[in-house]
Amino acid sequence: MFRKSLLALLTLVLILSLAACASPQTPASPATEAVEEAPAFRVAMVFPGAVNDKSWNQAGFTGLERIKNELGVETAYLEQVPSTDWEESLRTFASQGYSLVLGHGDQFSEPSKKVAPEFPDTKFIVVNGANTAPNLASIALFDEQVSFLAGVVAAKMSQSGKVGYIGGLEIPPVIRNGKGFEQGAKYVNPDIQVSITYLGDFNDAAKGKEATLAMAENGVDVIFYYVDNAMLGIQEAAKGANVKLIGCIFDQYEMAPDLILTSAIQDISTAIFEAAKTTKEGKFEGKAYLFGLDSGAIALAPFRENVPADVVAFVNQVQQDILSGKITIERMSQ
Amino acid sequence: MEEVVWLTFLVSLLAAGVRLATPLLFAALGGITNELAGVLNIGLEGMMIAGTFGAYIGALLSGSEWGGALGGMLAGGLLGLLFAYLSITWRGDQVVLGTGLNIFALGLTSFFFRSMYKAGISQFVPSFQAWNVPLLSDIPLIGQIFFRQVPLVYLAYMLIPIATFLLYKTTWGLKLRCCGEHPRAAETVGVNVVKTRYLALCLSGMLAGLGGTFLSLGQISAFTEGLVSGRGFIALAAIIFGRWKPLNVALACLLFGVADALQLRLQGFGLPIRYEFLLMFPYLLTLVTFIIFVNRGDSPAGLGKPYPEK
Repeated sequence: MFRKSLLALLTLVLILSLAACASPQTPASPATEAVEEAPAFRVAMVFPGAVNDKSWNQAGFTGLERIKNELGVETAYLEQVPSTDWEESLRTFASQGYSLVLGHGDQFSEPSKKVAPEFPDTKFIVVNGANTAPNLASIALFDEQVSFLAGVVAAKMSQSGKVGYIGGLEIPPVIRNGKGFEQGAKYVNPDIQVSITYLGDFNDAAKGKEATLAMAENGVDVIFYYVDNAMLGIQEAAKGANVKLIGCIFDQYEMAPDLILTSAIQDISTAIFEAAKTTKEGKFEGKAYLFGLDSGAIALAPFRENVPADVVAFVNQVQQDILSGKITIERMSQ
Repeated sequence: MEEVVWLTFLVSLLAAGVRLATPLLFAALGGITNELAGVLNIGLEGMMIAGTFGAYIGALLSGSEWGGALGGMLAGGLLGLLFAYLSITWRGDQVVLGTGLNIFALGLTSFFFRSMYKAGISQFVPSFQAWNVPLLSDIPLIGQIFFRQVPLVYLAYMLIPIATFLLYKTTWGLKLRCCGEHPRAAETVGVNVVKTRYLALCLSGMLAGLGGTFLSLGQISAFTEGLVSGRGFIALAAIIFGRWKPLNVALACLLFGVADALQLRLQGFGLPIRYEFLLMFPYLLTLVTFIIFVNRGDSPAGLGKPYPEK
């Protein structure tokens, strides 16, 4: 008897500990009593993953929170929506009278293409989307522009003429960052050697460390990376190997002040906020919006004392030339 | 000149291979112990995950990396004990339990970690530093490859002869293997099968925990989610590959480690090969070697079966 109850208790603890790890589900509030005469601007968003994933979905959710707080509009969302329900979740929000429905990720490209014609009065936006229609737009970051600048910094700071790029998986944003980085480095020094390594995993810190050591042995002295938790291994290796780093997504200077030259900030939440603002102002167009250096959604993090003034001046000049169109950067086709 | 370049490349490749093999080796030696005692432990991955976190907490609380190693062993050992309780005392299905344990460890460590740090980035803790073995580290080539590593690496490789001796040359080892081959026969000559299997699982958990410790305190100085990334399963493969013999299993782990180190280097050379194929390389190599060299059979006959039988 005692044994049985102990087993039951153990099982309960197991289940509870797992349940505690699941993210709290906030169901979208179904607004049934829509006021007919003055339909308020309301925004709904569908997320493929958890909105607290500290990564892609959370960045999108931050955008939605900004829309709610700064535009003062009603918002709703669904998270962890499985692929079988992508189309239906868009349709549900549209039929509930939301003015703008966003899908967070290119996986919503096809579902939105089907649903958009059914609701001509609703605007649809797919983040990193591939399709457009009169009421369907896509928004994306011009990642190559900021990673181009990262490449310029790397080439200027490298003593050896060898720089490296470490990516998680070979998926479009990771590839684009690598391409932009390579273009930027070659813009400064056409003979520069750019090594590119994919870890096959965004979080494997041990592999990040070994990849960095391998590059360092080969003479690489500046590395730009696009990974998640694996960055800890990259930073650990760089410490001992006299390698400088350029971070990604957000300003990572605080993580390793001696190592990080700058970071290629890529903030999708700003792009989402700006797109919703444009839509609210009635200026929505069914096209592919690309958010570049001029939008503030992408930028190099502020330089600290570890980058000399002449390099900073040069990078600023390159940035001006990109903005004025003197330097054109290729956008990778999907 | 050319020769020097190749030599440097080879030395750094093998040194990286030795490091990458270390966590596999700890877990695989643990896995051998429980499998020889007749318990199939798919939960090695989960025990390693518990180890990475336990080591981090241990180092945080004690302020020393050895305190961390203790924490890692404790966390892994506790999971081993839990596994033993559910699979031996309650005769649960070992495959199902092992899988459950992996998910449990992943969820539990993430949960604790996220409650500790809202931002998801851990603070740094004391970690193992490379320690050159006197005299041995001066041997050309060999010294650079094997004897300029963190202490946990030495521990892992010292465990190979120790495990061989204990498992295959002592009465204790004979009794343990007997529990795996024919538990009823073992029982009739007075071996306590339940106790032996409990002990084997706890040992296994502690070793896997040390493997986890190497990842969080030997490779980096912090905990993050996803540090183990499937190494527990590779250790399982190495056990089968090495036919439950510690030395052979260690060679299998080294093969994995070196192949992994090689693919990371080949990618950097910019060869015109798709990177997925390079990532596949360690697994492909193992598969091919497996097909060529390994004879069937010789797994413990009682493996995976609860005892006493119903």
